[in-house]
Amino acid sequence: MLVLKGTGASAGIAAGRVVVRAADAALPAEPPPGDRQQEAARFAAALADSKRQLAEIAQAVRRQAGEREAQIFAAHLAMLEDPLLAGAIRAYIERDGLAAGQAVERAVAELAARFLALPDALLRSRADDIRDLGARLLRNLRGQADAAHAAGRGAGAVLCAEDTTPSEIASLDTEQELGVVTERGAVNSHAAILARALGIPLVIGVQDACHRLRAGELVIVDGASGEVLVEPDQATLARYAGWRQTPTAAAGDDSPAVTLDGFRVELAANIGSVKEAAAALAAGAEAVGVLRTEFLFLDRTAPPSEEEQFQAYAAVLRALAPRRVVIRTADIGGDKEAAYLAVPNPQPELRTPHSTFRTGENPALGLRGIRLSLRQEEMFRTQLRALLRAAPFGNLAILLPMVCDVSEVRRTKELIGSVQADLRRLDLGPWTSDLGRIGLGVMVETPAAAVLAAELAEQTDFLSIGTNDLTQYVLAADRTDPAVAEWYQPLHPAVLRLVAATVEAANRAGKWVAICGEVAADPLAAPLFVGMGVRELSMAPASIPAVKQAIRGLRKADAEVLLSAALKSKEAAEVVELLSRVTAD
Amino acid sequence: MVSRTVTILNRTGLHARPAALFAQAAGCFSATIRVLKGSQQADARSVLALMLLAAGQGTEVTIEAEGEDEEAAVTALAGMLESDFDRDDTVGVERSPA
Repeated sequence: MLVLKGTGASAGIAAGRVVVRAADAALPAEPPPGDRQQEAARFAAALADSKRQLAEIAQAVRRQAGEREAQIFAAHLAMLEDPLLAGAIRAYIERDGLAAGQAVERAVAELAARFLALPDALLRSRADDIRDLGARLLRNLRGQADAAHAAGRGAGAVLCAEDTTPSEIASLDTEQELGVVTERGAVNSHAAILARALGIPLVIGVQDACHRLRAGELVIVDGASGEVLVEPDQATLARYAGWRQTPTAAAGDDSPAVTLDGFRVELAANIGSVKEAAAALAAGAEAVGVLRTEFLFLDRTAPPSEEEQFQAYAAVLRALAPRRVVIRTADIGGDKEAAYLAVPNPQPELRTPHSTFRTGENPALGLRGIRLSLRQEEMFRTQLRALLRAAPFGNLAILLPMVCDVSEVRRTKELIGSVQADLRRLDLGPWTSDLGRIGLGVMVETPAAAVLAAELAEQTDFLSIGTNDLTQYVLAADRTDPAVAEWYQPLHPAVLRLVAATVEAANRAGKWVAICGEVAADPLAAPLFVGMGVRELSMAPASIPAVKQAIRGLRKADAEVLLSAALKSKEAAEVVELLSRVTAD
Repeated sequence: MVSRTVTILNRTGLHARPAALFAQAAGCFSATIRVLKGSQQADARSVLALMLLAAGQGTEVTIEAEGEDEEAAVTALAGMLESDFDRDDTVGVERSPA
């Protein structure tokens, strides 16, 4: 059995027959070019069709995923009508006499190349969006509807392509297509964000996938581990069959996940918007393990007001009550940049014309998370005030990102104390009496926090292990860089040993401990976390049913034996091998 | 033609959403408006062109307008780039009753 290794970009298990989409998906031939006027009219019609389709997609995505994901397509609409895109295409037709299709291809290629040359990674990724728009215009020029584009994939298909686009992910019929495998792509691309929101397993960065996978081959796609298993044997298939479950199968099932020998693991949801609270409930989440608050801070020109934040936090708390909702304070910086917070580069020698006011050459190691919050104290106080005011509406716990040691916890506690004093002085409501029961926890995502877990556990109410960043920092592998994807291994023994030691430190201190990275959504990895004694696994809502089923088939005693073997492994491949062997029994 | 050179003071620069707001504002005037940064120039109504300038805080840009309302356009758009509304907003939040 051949195993292709890529990067998991959207967790979940899919098994199906490969459908390869060539880079230039077979489009019907373009009709022979007409005169300039005819070509301009054809383009105008294709543009109108494209705009209508994008508006429809935005609406469908808003229903299925949420407002934030829908905004990707609203932005596409604005780009489509831009003089540099639609305007350039018109000029190529009317001034240079190009056929409409040629004009689109040329304008898109030129524009994408200009964005790819920019120093800012986020601006660079706009090239993917522009190419997506170009492909849509070409399909419309040749009279190929989205539905026809999708036809031929059929039920039970795993789509394999050089790269995918937000449009393509949004067009997938989640009942029919089971998963997507690509050669290129990035974990934080618009396409990957959408796949996660829609619960479509996606593995990116599989080198030469379109040639190594052949149409019709049976594959298992593991969107958490990033593996594609080609023509798996019966035992492997049977093992995955139990987990490959449509999320709807257990939707609304909020009965707990308990192992055969009675160890209970709370299954919680990671959510990134108020709307996703409903998805969390529908998937049977027992709590919210992380509400990422970045949605309030990004893509805008000024930080959100206290009132806006208060409304959002109160809405989520109320929707989930009495379930616990862990709200993480803003994790801006790193790959999530808020332009209004850009700070001068502290190292003048590193200055380039573009980086003078950016956060440095290595944003993942820069001013982000709690570091930025403590530096932007007024903004942090505003968020803390909003959180404390919202607390009476439900069961709130506050989580701090990117902590290295107790000094950041201490400073945050001082701030919380001062904000509480303000609120009491103002005597503005009933919340003052409830302040004592708000939990404060830290993300364990820096190696420093993992090593100092015992000290952090002593000073806080809970630890939440963010395995995505922990993996990236322990293995020094940028998770957004496909070139080092094979080094980014959440099941690497170096990562697992730190995670296990952190869990042990928390349990010894009698503190709650959760795993909230994407590996928490991997049913294959569940025995490891059960073996460690993790109290909570927090994941995308769509992954909850599969993980619940995996846990129900385990014995904690067996999981402990497996874990001790995994912790003695010398490399990630050994861990994966162990997990495959044991769970196949 | 009217032109004015300003240093982008707002912390947002001309990235993403600020670029969209700026382009929208530029669309309110009938004059032809361009933004120049070094040897680069952008149509002020084009979000893509403004993003391609990759002009962050502290960047010096020149706004040029030609047309009936050129004076008003330059004044309004330069004012946008020179305003530090980030700080204003924070102050506003602190003053508003909780």
